Formats: sequence, C-alpha cells, structure tokens
Amino acid sequence: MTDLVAILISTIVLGSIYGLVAIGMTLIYGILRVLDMSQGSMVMAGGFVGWGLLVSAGTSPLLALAAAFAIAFLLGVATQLVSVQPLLGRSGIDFEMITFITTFAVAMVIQNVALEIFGPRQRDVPPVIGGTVDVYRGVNISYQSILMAAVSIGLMLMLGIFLTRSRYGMAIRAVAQDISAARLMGVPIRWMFPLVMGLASALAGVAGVFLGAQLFASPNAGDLPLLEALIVVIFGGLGSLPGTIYAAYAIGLIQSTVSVLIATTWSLPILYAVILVVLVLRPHGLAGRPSEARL
Amino acid sequence: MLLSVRGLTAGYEETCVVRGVDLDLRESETFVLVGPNGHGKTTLLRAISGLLRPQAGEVWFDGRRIDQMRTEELAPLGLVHIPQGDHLFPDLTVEENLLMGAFPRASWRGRRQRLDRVYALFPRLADRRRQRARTLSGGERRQVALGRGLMQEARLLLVDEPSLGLAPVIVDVVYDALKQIAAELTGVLLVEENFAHIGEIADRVGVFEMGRIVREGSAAELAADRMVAESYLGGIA
Ligand SMILES: Nc1ncnc2c1ncn2[C@@H]1O[C@H](COP(=O)(O)OP(=O)(O)O)[C@@H](O)[C@H]1O
Ligand SMILES: [Mg+2]
Repeated sequence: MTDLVAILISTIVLGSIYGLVAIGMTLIYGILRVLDMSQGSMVMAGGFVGWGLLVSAGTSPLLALAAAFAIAFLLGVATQLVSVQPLLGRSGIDFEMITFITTFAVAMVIQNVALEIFGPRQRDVPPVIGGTVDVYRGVNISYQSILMAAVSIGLMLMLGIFLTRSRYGMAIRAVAQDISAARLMGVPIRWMFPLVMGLASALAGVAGVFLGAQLFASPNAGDLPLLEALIVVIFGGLGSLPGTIYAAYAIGLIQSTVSVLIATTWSLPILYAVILVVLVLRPHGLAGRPSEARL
Repeated sequence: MLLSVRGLTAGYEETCVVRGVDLDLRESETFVLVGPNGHGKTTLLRAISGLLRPQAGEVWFDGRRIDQMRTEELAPLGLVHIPQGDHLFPDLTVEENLLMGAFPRASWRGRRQRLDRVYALFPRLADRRRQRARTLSGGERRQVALGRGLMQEARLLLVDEPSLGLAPVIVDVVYDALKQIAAELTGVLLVEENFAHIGEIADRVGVFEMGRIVREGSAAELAADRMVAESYLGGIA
C-alpha cells in the first residue's frame, strides 16, 4: 500500500512537470509544424530568472514564477520572429527541417549569451517553498513538489480552457487545422504564430523555475529537459495535445514504478525499452494519427 | 458598385488561368458565374478574396481597393468567401466551426443570435452541434460551410459551387437557404457549373470560359441563347 501511494505521488509529480515542459513543444508543432529546439533554452532562462529573483532579490515565489512566464514569453516571441516567421510560406523549402536547425541556432545563441552573463558555474536555486509533509505512513512529499505539480496541472488546464473556450484559443486550433480557411474567417495568422510560440515558451519558462530548484541553474540546464520533451512529444504522437499528456504521465508512471519496486538505476533503461517497443509497434505514438494529428 | 473587378489576371506559377476579367456587382444583386470545370472560376474567387495574389488588374470592394490586401483583412470588412470543397476545421465541432465564422470582433459580439439563425436555417446542424466536422456527411458539411459563412456580418458573399457532389435532396436544402440568404444580403457572387439550380436566385448570369466572362445577361436571356443553352442547360432545357 505504501508502495502504491509512493508510485502514485511520484507519477503525478513527474508526469506533471514532463507535461509542462513538453506541451509547448506540441502546441508549436501542432500549429506551426516546427519542432522547436529552443524550448530547452526557455527552461534554462526560467531557471536563471528563478535564481536571480529568489536568491538575489528575495522576491516572492509567485512573482518569480510570473516573471519567468513573462520573460520566456518575450524570448519565445523573439525566437519566432527571428527563426521561423521569415521562412513561413516560402515555397520549395523543407520548412520542418530548416526550422529545426534555425530554432536550434537561436538556442545556441541564447545559451552562449547566458554563459557570458552568468558563467559556467551551476547556481543553486532554493526551493520555491520549503518543507515536506508525510502523506501516508512514511511516504514523504515536499511542498515544492506539491506546488510544482499543482502549478503544472493548473497551467495545462488553463491552456486547455483557453484553447477550447476562448476566441483566440479556438482560432489557434483552426489555424492548425486549415490555415487558408482560418484566414477566410479573418484570423490574423501573421501574429498568431508569435503568440503561440510565446505562450509555449512561457510554460517552459515556468517549468524552468521548478527544475532549477530541483537541480540548479546553469547555461546548459535546458539540454536534458529539451531531450525529455522531445521524447514525450514523439511518444505521445507529434502534434497531439492529449497524446502529450498521456505520454507525460505514462513516462512518469513507468519511471516511478520501476524506481519504487525495483531500483532507481533501472528506471531509465526500462523506460526506454518500453518507449522503443511502443514506437516500433505504433510509430505514430500513443495518440498520433498519420500526418493529421493537429491539436 | 459593391464589387468592381478590372482586368483581373491570375494563375499559378507561370500559367495564367484567369485572363483579364471585368465584373461589376451592384448593391443587393446576385450574380452567378456559370462555366465548365477547370476554366478558372475557383481561381477567380481566390484572387478576389486574396488567397491568390493577382498578377494584374484591380479589385474594388465597397469603394476600397482590396487586391493588395491580405485575405484575413477582408472578412472584417464584410467580404466573405465560402470556398469550394467546404474547408471545414475537421477536428472542431460543428458549433466551433460556426463560431469561427464569427471571429471578426464585430461579429463575435452577436455570435449567439447568429448561431440561432444558422440553426433555424439548417436544423440538422443543431442536432449535430457537438460532433466533430470530420464525422459529418457531405451534405451536413456543406451546411456547416454555408452556416459558417453566415456567422459574419457579410456585405458580399462569394460562394463556390454549393451544389458540388451533393444528392438532389440536399441541393434543394442548400438552395432554399441560399435564396433566403440572397434576399437578405447586400450582394452574392455565386459560381456553378451549370444552370440547373440557379434560375430563381440569379439576378444576372455570366458565362465563364477559358478564364474570361464571354457572355452576360439575365438567366432568361442566356437560356434563349442557343450556344449557351446547348452547353449549360442540360436536362432542364
Ligand atoms: N493550386 C493550383 N496549382 C496549379 N494549378 C492549379 C491550381 N488550382 C487550379 N489549377 C489549375 O487552374 C485551372 C483552373 O482551375 P479552377 O480555378 O479550379 O477551375 P474551376 O473552378 O472553373 O473548375 C485548372 O487547369 C487547374 O488545373
Ligand atoms: Mg471550381
């Protein structure tokens, strides 16, 4: 029973943060057909915002999260304008492949700017909030993890509500499904694209504050989250939001189960073995439909 | 003049499909273009609504030159294009598809009343409001496409082959609705392959061949024209 509770809690925490890091990537791929390699830098930037505000300025955690959201939003908009917008609508190019590289190039620039400013040292970010609580007979969970899961789930729900209920959210999905029809409806597609990449990056930025506190802030702190996000997104089915969420929690569940029942060292090898088998059997991922998975 | 097209030329890459079209559409008029498949009717409508950049010529709408404007700027002005083949948003529900039609700010405010009006016009859609567009039948899709076009504050409606691929019963549903719409709207430019359904709705008819309007007149005048009658009247002559 304690094992079960431990697995459940760990699944929710891990899955939520994986989801938050990866969901922006899905959103961007779904609407723009760009596999955005700059998402890792947004996580990294969020980590430094957290470090800067929580350590040096001593601001409140909520303000730090909001600041990370805003700064990553602007960074995402700028990245889109530099590396994706100029390539839109050009005929005779492999748009997906070129933007894969151009967004990666931007990521490298951002990373090296961070290196210039902050140096290569790893900076400790304090927990957004401290303390732990005993949930069930010795199964502990830190307040930091509770907050991380709550904020991640909250943001993903808000994204879902935005996409299904609001005028612009619906327009984002419409653009992903039929761009010329969306234009005929009067949707200003030119600035829907920067908006989407800004929003997606903002979510990664918030995740970055939490991940920075779990690990540390450093110029290459976004590398691993980027790889993990790519795996979640492809495992879930490129471009499918529900798929990404299933995949995030499925991966969390596998890792937690192996860690609790077998050993932490086995969690990655077993996870990747499962991913390998699933993708070989279902190459479009958990929820992807061949070439039409669109938001 | 609600719409004035002057010397409009448009096409794809090197090929020129629409070759110097002149067309005038007066306030509250329904103008129908009839012509064989592949002669450039769809291309003409796409050039008018900006989905295709014209190679030459001018388009004026409501006293404003629009041929250099972007498509997405035209709907808020009241120029609504219902494209050939419906172009629904496949994974949005029927109601979401219709709501997207009201995207321009001015229309969004009145979306509930408009929704009710569309459901009154196409009761079938009210039953299907929560269903994804990709799961609809061809006739239902056409009704969503037309309904979505009616969700905006349209002054001019461009409609491309609304009877294409539909069973006769559904064509009647669609044309009954179009008749009501045409009576209310300030202007309609409708494209069809033949005269089969347009007799009652057309104020004026143009015959479109090889990228040009080759004849123009009332439906009755054109029906009296031997050449036109042989090509386009088909079964109803
Ligand atoms: N996207 C396109 N690219 C190249 N040629 C096209 C395209 N769309 C249509 N055409 C060509 O333009 C011509 C006119 O097509 P269209 O405007 O669809 O005619 P209609 O609507 O009268 O049937 C056809 O010869 C067609 O093959
Ligand atoms: Mg056509």
